[in-house]
Amino acid sequence: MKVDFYAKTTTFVGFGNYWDAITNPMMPRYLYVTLRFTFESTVISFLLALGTSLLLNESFKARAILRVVVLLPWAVSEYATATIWRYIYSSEIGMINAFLFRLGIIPRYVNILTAAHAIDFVAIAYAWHFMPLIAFFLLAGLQTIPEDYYKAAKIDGAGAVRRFVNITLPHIRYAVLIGLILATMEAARAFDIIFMLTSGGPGSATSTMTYDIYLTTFAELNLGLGAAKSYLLIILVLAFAVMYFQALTRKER
Amino acid sequence: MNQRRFLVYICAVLLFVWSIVPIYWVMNQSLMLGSDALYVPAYFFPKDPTLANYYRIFGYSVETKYGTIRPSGFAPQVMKGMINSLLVSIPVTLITMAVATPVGYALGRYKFRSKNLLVMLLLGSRALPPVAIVIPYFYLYQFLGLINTVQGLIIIYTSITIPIITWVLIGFFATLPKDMELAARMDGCGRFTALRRIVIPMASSGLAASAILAFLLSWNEFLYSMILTAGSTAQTLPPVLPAMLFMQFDATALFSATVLTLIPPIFVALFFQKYILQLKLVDPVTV
Amino acid sequence: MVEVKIENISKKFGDLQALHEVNLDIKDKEFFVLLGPSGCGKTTLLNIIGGLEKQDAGSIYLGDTCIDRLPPEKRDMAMVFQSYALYPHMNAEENITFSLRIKKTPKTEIQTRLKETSEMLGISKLVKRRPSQLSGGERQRVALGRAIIRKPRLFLMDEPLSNIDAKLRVGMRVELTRLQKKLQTTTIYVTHDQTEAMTMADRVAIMHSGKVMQVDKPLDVYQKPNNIFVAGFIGTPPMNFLDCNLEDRKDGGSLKTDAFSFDLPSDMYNLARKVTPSPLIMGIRAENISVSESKKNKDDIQTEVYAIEPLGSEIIYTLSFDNHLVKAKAPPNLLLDIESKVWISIDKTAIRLFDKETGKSIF
Repeated sequence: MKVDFYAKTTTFVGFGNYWDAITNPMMPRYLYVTLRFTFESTVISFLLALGTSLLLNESFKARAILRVVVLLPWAVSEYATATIWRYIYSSEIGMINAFLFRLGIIPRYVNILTAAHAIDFVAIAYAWHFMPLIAFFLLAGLQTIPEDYYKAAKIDGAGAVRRFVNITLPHIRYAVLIGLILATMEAARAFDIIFMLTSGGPGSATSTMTYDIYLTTFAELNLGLGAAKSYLLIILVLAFAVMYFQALTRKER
Repeated sequence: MNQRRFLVYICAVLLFVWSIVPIYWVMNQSLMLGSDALYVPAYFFPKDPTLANYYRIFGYSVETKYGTIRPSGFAPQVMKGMINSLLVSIPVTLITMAVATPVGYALGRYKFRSKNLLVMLLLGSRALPPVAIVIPYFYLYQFLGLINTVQGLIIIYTSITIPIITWVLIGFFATLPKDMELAARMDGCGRFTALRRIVIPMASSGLAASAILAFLLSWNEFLYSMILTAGSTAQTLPPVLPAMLFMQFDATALFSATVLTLIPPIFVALFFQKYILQLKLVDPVTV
Repeated sequence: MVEVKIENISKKFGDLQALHEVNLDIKDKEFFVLLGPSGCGKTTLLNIIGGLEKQDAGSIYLGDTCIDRLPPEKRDMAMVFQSYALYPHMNAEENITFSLRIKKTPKTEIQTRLKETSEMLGISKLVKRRPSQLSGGERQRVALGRAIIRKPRLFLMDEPLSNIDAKLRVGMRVELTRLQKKLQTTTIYVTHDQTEAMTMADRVAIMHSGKVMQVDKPLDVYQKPNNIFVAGFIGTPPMNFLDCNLEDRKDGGSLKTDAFSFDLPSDMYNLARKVTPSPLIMGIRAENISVSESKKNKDDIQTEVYAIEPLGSEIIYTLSFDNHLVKAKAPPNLLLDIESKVWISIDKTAIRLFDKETGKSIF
């Protein structure tokens, strides 16, 4: 069904490209990296967003300023985020290394972006960028909860944790769901951050499926294979999207 | 309660630091000359702060205590890049608002049979990875002669912004009170007049926020520009950064260029944050 | 300045039949009230008349013209909304004159009419203010002004007084009625508040579950309700209802409830006989039951005081006997304690009888 070509000549390969894509020994690696990245960045950005939105829901003097500041990482573009964090993590001139060194915690600069953990740090950087969006989603949801519920609960003697679980969480269910799915879908498709921060390295430690597609299509110029891989990724992302609609419409019934 | 207040303030400070430090860092580095910027261990405050790097990326030589420093070889790209980014972002914003507003209004207000399908299609377009989409566009544009053109970018950018903005506006229009519109119709307005004179003025804050969002999305877009216009006269600002990074390592120019790309979004976030915060987010599928 | 004829209007929302073949004839210059509980369809009917909703079946006529095909802006009606629906981005003056400006009325005429209207409503000083700067009552007058300035053929009002404090409401009721008489414009007014309906209407239509139960002058609806719903809906406190049956006797018959029975006057009895053997419901209003501490008449019933509501001008007692509770009005000086035993006397000429199955009134 899929007509795929090879440089200037078109050769009908049928499902050949898909087969190559799936049997490629690196594919499990890419899939793993993608899933790990998606999972970590979603979890981190979600937890941070939850804390942020709860914080911003409280009223205190500096709140207006804080709201603007919290928005900044989102206003900054993904590629700029990558560039910035590159120089935070850098093992030669990075901020973290400088900080730890000056504090005397490490005797020499270390390599933060190791093969084992680079993807985690990339996830952190991405979460830094993505968190404000989710935070504001959640904040919008939090602001619809009437004060009265909390007052009644306080009078009934409910502690802070109880109030959170029984009042706050149920009310923001939709916002949470939207936030989670959006975070997941966007993380699965993320490209700019990998490209500018680690270029898929070291080795293939941070090569997500998206990055692999990029290399296949534009570096190796194997467009057919690239297109096939793209479809696989699309299926993955659509799976997430379908989960969303399932979860959402289930609540309607 | 003192304990709670304390906790709140601590968290607020942490959040502030978390959000600002990376941005501060790049600004810090951009304000130092090469040897200071790359000094190990790095300085946390600019040593001998100077705007030299900014002059450099705009193509000027700078006199410093270390001698004259040549301008950045990327200067022309930076300049052209900024102009192109504007040339693309402004039309994209206008087109997006022109399309998303009536569509968002229609989908947010009225119920009709194919509505859920349309909304899902809208959201579904977010499932496609840009890396994948850019391939067919690449071929199409080559065929149509739109490669390396501003118009080409405008077209593809609107394909990103319109679904998102429409989605936002659907939620917005759904929560707008209906009565005023009905009153306007009783007063003698046809549907369109009511929309123009009553609904849109009422929606102004939401529309303003959406326009800002559209502009930001367009300004910050990286991949499409890199693939479709790299190295050409139509290149926007974002692809200049990887060029600076990978092709000719000019660290301080990179820092100042990065800050340059940050300025409009930060400016926009600062001055228009109150509009953005007023957007209420309602899930369109349940509307 | 027009008669309105509503013919066989039906409307369904999904599975819910909101209006069921509604027929009404409204006279020219009449203050006509649609009264009913929430969900009875009165607002839907109003919206259909105004053109904001489309009916599934039936027609509306203004005078001799059928207006079904006309969009709202062409129907020459003005509507006052429950929420006032003032345009927030315009000040009061712009709100009021909006419709005239749309039609491109000459500026001088706009000014004249504006002056007239704002003086009539007492808001001349407020015209430059925005809705957010006005109080509830002031906003309502601006909404009225917006409707009045157009000099339409018909006014539609959807519970305009619901959002005003109780005290202000009483004054506004009077003002609205006077205004309507002055403007001589046919008005259709929707409310769920029976006091409004009783005090303001020339005629009132009681609606329930999408059907018109009764159309009459307010006093007639009170004194001669057509069915149980109307009888129970109108009147504070609500009419007392008791199940009962007819019993034949030698000369005439008697009314028998499970707690007591008494003789009926023969004309009432004969009428009732026509409908039996169907079981009946007896209705009697609180003001037709008198309370006393001793038995005065043969048919008096012994009861126990269950609750007391002193209103100042009178006292409403809730009395219990044999699992029934009835309310009776008593003069303010008749003070009784809870659980004390008293006697009640029912004014037989004021009894209303209803057929238990159909709910229709027999008399």
